[in-house]
Amino acid sequence: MFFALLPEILMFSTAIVTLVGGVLVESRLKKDAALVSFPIFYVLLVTLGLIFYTGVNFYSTAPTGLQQLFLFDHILIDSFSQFLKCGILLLFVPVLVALRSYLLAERIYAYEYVVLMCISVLGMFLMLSAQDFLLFYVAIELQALSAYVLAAFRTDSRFSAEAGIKYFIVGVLASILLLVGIALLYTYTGTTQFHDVNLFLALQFNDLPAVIILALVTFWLGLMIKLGAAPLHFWALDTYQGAPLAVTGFFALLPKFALVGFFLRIYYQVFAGFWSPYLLTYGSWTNYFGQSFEKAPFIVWNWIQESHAHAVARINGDPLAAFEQFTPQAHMVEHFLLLPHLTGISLLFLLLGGCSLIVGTVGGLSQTNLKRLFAYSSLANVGFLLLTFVPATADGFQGTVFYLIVYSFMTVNFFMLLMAFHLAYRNPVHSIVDLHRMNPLLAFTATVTLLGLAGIPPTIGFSTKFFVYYVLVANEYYWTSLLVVFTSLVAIFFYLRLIVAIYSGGFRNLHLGSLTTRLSWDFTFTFIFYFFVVNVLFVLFAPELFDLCALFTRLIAMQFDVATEVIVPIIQRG
Amino acid sequence: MSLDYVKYLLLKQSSFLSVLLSVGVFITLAIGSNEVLGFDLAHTFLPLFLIMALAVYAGSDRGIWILTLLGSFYTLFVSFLMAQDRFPVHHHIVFDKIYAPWPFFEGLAHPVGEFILGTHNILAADQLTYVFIVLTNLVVFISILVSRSLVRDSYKGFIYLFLLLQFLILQFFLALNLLVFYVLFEAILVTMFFIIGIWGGRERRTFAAYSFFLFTAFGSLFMLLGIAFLAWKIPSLSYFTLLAEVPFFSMQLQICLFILFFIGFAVKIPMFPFHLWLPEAHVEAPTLGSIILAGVLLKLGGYGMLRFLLPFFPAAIDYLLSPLLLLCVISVLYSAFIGLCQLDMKKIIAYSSVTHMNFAVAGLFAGDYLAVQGAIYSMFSHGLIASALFLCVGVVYDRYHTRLLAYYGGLSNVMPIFSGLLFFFVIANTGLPPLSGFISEITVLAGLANVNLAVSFLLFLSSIAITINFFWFYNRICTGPVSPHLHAVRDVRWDEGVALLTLASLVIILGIRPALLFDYCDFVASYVRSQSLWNFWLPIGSDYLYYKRG
Repeated sequence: MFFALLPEILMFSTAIVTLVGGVLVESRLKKDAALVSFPIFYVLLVTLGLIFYTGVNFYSTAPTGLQQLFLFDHILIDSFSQFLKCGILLLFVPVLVALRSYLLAERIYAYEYVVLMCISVLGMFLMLSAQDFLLFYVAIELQALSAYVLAAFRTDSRFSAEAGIKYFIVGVLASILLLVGIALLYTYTGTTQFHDVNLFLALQFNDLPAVIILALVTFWLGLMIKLGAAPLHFWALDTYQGAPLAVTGFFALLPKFALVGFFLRIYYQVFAGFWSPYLLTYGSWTNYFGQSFEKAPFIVWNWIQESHAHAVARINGDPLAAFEQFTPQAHMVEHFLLLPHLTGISLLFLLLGGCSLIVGTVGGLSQTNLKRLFAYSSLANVGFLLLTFVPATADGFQGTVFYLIVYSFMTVNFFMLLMAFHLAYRNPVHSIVDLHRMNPLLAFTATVTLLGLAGIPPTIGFSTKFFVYYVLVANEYYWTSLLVVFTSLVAIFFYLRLIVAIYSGGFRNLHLGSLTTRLSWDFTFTFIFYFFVVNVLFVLFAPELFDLCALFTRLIAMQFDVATEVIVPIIQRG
Repeated sequence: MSLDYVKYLLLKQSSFLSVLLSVGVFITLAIGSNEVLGFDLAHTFLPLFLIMALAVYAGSDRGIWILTLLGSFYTLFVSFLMAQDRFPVHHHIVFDKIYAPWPFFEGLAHPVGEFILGTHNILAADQLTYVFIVLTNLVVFISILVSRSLVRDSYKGFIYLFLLLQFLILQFFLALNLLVFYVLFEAILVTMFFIIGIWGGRERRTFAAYSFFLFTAFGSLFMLLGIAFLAWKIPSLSYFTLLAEVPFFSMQLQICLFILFFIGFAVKIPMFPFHLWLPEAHVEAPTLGSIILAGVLLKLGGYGMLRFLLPFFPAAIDYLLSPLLLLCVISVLYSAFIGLCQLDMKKIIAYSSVTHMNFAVAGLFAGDYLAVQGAIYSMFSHGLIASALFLCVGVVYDRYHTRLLAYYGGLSNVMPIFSGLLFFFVIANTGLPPLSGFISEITVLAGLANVNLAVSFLLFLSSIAITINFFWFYNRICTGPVSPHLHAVRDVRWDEGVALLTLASLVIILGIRPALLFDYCDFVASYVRSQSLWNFWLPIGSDYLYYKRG
């Protein structure tokens, strides 16, 4: 009966068994307390298999795969959540591998890292399957509390303590905002179930009450703080820098993936179609300038067009056209609106996405610390992810999933690179300078990883960025796409600077270092495997990956019965 | 058995065996590539096969040089034969027929192209393509010939990068799908960035590499927006679909898209406001980098215009003809006169490159058949002459390690043969008959005169400036009293001599018999411009220029 819930049960039991077992064997494994993480790989494999079996099952009778509700309709196990849980586990494996090598190298005899990470992942699993706001809150608290402790784990480091405190305080603030949103929503809808809230919103024909808007925006703000989007990102920079490196990787990969996945669910299941048009109504706070706010640039542009046409008509000696003061509708010129189709939450996503892009790229230019640089690059990519939410269409959904998957794997690469620096060279933050002389293989790996993150063809990072451009242009967000162009340029410089630093030493006295001497076999294998996956597999099978995201999009549209425009032409027309 | 021991064993194998293995790999792949890949354009994959062959080669730098030389000569030879459609090939895969307005040689339709918006006709070649492919292979062959004496550090890495660059450039000229075109456009930048940034001479090479990459990426990103827009509107990025649809867009849309694409190509050519990367990149790049930059990479922009801009946006070009020609004239005159003030030898040649390229682009926009022919011819001949000039400067730099004109004087006493060759290329660059520079200038000017006599005259003025520039350049370096900074050095080595003589002979041959190129590009030139405003746009009343379905 609880077969579908086995991933969660397994994750929980792994945490418990590791906790108890760690206490029992700790005295015997004094030197290698990280060995306790080995059984976890096996459990992870089993969990992955289970998730794959229960979730990714497109051949069942239901077109959307198997679905089952548990816990009095509070948990929904369906293809959407299981697919995302697969992703989380695929990202969890390298974090564990890196963690093991990190703990061995730093001689930290603490097995509790793994326990906390497992509990955090359990929280993420519940977050993705939640069908109730309160369960979601419990799950996100579970995830966040373990994360707070992980950030502050190194008791001998001031930076770690600072990171933990900042993360804790800001995270609690975010949780308060979430709870306020949920409470307000409950006050006016009388329910916290996603399905019931969806029904309630569907029955609002004219106007959403301002309180509902307040509730939704507060909830959304809490999520954005947790995601670390600018201008609410300040905690993330210090947390990433201060936390131990393995934990930084954990933060950069897993909570983001889970939060964006959850946001996809809540956007499309609960608020789809209703969040958009009903927020921008008369009297709502986003409509301060009235209906003409959106149209102002159009009016100016149209006036320019008209006067030009008028002048040309006069020059061409066409008295009738010159005399006409009103252009017939048939002669309407195309206009490029500043903020087209911006309804409701799209404006907020645009603001936060644009801000994240700008802060992430420009702010990262002056960094010398690699961990902080990693944080800024995460911030810029979060900006891209938020911008894919701006046009609330199926294109955007597909772009989000595609970007999320590719970005997460590229971040795994970057994180493993940083970990390799830390393990092989005692001074990790400056290891990237002159890397070519020390270790040409690692230099090549670093170059390819950074080129992928910069979004330079022919890496897969370029395909994701191109699709973000396509999504923006196809939904007529031309000015937004211009902003993305300019920030991409800054981002390219941001990553090129690192590449130049790698090759800055020239060729005199080339020391051929070996990648394998100070790195363990499992770390090397995982690094090579993920490098291969991102740079060879994704590039060769980019169409298949893209089609997978399209399939996923159509699945969501079918499951939640959302009226989205399915993008057929991008694949079929030739 | 540790990894180190395995590496040791690999390195200890004899050079002879590794030569056999490499040559065997290359020959098998090269000769059998038509069987392996099964299509006629397999010869463009030869540089990739050469890289694979080099990967199993464990010999000295000299061995790498010989192998690469033979491989690149073979590439040149085969592409020259393929250009004339003489090579017997066997088709194993049946392709989609290319329904082109003008005859294409062959093409490849790839089923994996689902993702790139236009499954068909991703790679195809016609006469225009082969002009540039032959140019690329020739320039690369020349570069490899002189590479061993001019590349001091990490020769193997440089050859890998160089061959990769050649491969990307060849695929770029073949690309028919707009997204493939763009991906290769940018990928070439990455390779060039590394060549400039790693093998360049002084500290400023980092700045030059950044400015090169970021300038070009800036332009390309605008083009990417245009591509994304076309992917949405049509929605296809296949060349022939675009050719059928885009000229029918409304005037406003055409102008907007034209501007986006134009910025992308204008940075590459380079045109006036976006030309700042060129002097920097040329000065700081290594000699071979400069050769390929001037010889081939500047032509990417011109080729892009010929292939994509001119056929797609005829109405926009007609509307914006005056500002475009103005921009070309400004670029030409500005760079021609700025070159007079330069102290660095490479900068002088770089600015003359800007002049010549913008000359060609003015011919492209003019639309006259003669002008377009002249533009293509001019790009080819400029590729030869500029490469030769940069090679000459590279020779001198290799001897004296300075590019400042002040240090030179009376070089003809020290290196007489070199001075003779330099003089030849100087007069070729200034456009003296009967060399190819003259033909290119006269053709473009004649074609432009049919469209706009004033522009033609203004462009002619630049010819005077370049003549002054280069004769003074030659005067300062080679004639006059011997500068006290010059010590006795070796004159032109055999590899440099062969390279320069090859380029010189081609310049003479093309100058004496320009019909070789004009006859070859005849059909393409006529067709590129025949899709002009007057063929597709039917005047309906008085508002045909502004109100068209979008």
